[in-house]
Amino acid sequence: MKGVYIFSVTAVAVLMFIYQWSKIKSTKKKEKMVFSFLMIIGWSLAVTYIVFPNMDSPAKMVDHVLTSLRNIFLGIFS
Amino acid sequence: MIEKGKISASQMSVMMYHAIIATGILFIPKTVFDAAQQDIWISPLWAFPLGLLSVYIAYKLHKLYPDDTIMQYSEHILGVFFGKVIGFILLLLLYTSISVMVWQYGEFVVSEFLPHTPKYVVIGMMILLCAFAVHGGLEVIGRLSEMVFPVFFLLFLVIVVLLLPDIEIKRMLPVMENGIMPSVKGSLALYTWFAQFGIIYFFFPYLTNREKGMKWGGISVLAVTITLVLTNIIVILVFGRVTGNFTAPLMSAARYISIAEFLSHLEAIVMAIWIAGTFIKICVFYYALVLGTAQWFNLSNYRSLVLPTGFLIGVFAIQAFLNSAEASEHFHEVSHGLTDTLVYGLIIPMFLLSIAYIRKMKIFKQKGREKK
Amino acid sequence: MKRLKIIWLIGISLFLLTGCWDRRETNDLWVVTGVGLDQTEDGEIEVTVEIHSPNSDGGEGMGGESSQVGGNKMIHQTGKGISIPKAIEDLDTQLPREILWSHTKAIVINKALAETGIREELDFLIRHPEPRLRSYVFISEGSAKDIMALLPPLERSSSEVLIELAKSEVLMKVTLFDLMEMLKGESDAAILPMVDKLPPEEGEQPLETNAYINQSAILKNGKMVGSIDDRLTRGVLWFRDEIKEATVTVQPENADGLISMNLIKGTTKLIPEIDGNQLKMTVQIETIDDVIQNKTNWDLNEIEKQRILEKELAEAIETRLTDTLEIVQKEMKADIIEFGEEFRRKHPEQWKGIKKDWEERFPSVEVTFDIEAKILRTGQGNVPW
Repeated sequence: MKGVYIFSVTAVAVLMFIYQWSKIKSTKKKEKMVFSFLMIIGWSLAVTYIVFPNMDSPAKMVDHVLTSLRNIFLGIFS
Repeated sequence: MIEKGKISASQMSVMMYHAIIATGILFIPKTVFDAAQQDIWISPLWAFPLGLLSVYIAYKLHKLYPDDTIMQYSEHILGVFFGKVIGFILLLLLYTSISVMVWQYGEFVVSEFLPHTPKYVVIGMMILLCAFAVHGGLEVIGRLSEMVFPVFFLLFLVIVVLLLPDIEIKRMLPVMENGIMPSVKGSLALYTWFAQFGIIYFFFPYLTNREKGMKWGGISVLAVTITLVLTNIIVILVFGRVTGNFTAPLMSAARYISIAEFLSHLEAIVMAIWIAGTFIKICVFYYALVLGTAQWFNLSNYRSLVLPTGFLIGVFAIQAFLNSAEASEHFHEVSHGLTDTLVYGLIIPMFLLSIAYIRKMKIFKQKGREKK
Repeated sequence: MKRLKIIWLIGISLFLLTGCWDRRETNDLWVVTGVGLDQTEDGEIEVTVEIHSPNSDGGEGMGGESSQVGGNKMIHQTGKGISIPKAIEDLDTQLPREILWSHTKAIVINKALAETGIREELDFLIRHPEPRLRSYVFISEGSAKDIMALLPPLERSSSEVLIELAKSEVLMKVTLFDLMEMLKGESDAAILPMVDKLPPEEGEQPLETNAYINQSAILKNGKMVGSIDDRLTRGVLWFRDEIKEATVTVQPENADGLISMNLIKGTTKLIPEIDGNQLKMTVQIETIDDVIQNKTNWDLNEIEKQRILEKELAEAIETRLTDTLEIVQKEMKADIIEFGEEFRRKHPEQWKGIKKDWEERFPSVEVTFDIEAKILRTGQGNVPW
């Protein structure tokens, strides 16, 4: 099952890549770099989450950071 | 400039209205009810100044740097390095906040209407749809929201009117049973939504009539407040003390409508309102995110980033919470008033504005010295 | 370049052409119109569903030939298990089609289950996205299964009868939402209509009879503690300002017969008062009645006679209400007449102190009546004497 998911995620990513890459003008190197950078992050995150489904999401991490920050603040004031 | 399109101030106002209210009308009554009980309709009034403050700060910053969005002027204010750091934090928070919204959308559609459809399909379709709109640019989103608004408002009024036979005034009494505090506490949860007005800083530079920006921003906050008060009043008048037992009281209320036996099962209307609104909401945040990312990297065009950003949002959203218990833990934190939206909508702009003022004062002093 | 576009389009359509994921065709469904919940003697839960199959009475037309018009096509099926979901699972194994719950209009709970507590069972009904908040809830004297299984002579099904009964508002009418509201209330007491089956007419099949509402069940903390008869139920309805139908028969002093009056309109206002430590409640009733039968030789068009009659009427209502209080307030100590709510609304500050021991203090509330009865019409004509 995980194999299927990874395959389909990869397929989606590749499709996007093919579609978008041809649209970026070849003179714009920076755009291509940023685009591939985001694609790679997205794809690798997706694969990571498929392989380790119990990993914390960014939303939860931010929650965590914010609550600990709040606790520090509360500690200072009290 | 990276965005060539322009929108009018009133379009921006409608856009922001949707961006706040879409998820609000469904989830706010329950979240606020936990603290405010039958006074939930007062809470939006306490949150109103906060929304206004967010808009005002964004407007003040816009006045200082009329052609830039926050990603650009944070560099002017703090220098390139710290500016980029702030920009990065901002983007990260936007990512998490939008992922929570999309998750909510997916979860709600799956749990209420399509229980056998996998969530990634529901979420994927929505993001794909939004990607088209965002690719179209700011003008497209602005017009879309203008188009959606009358439908949204009309259907909302239909629901309210159809619920009138079921209301009972005594469910709202006693007003302020435990004084003013419960409703104030309830408004803490609302800060999450009202702080989202902060992302208006992405749209101010693209207005055709900039001088009206503040006015229409304020109107938007006011409209949101009125809609919320109306929603909360109708929910409390129909459900009274049972409100807290429903995850989405307005939805349950629509389900409860039954006029002369045949006009019933109206939850599809609420769903229609809600999906239309959420679509605009996700578009607005999605757009802000894409634009912000492009500006962070100093690109000249943001359109190539639409798809990869959507992909990332999708991944984040599906993974946002594993189950409803984790989600309710998150929303519990939210209802205590400390959230990511508050940081990017209010705290960061406030910080930037104060630094900007301090620097300005220094410059004035220096100039004064030079003159002497 | 063009080929890439085509690949992209094919890729996209893969996602778009999957069809409706959650589609449910009507001929794959069985529509449940009524549910009976029973607790059997061995402690298990029995769920009886009354199914109205859309195919069985409309489908014949499809083939061109129609047959069997007017047959009662109700199907009853029972599932058993340690909890409602378990029993429904059991039910699913017996039924070849998917069950559609969203048209459930009547929920019957048997007495044994009500006595052990209905809160847990309600939880299921509310959590489930399908059942409606407007479905009517009943408690059955015997088993709910029997009530569901009845084949009423006139209506299409047993649940149809129950719904009509509730809607007529002669006695209690309680929807799922009303029940939730009562259970969530300040006093944690609830009142539900009780159904029983009428004994069948002679010569009829034992199942060919109606269910009817004859009593009301009183629940405290979600558990049934007792029942009151129809007379007292109307008393409760007066207190709750829900009275719609009432006939009062009085025998005025120095008259030689009975006069019956029918209620046109009745409104009740509860006015709470706190006098030191003593809780007081004034029940203000305004009612308008019509005379429907006059067995005396009075001429009711005389103003004086009408005055007397109005006074009698007020007194009759007051006796009924005092009788109700006697049982509900003094004996059962169940605040189904919502005095607590009134105190909370009018005196929120003091209520906080009262709330803790409301159960003890409720019976000591002093009730005074202020009944204003009016007779509007005396009928179209009268029998000549």
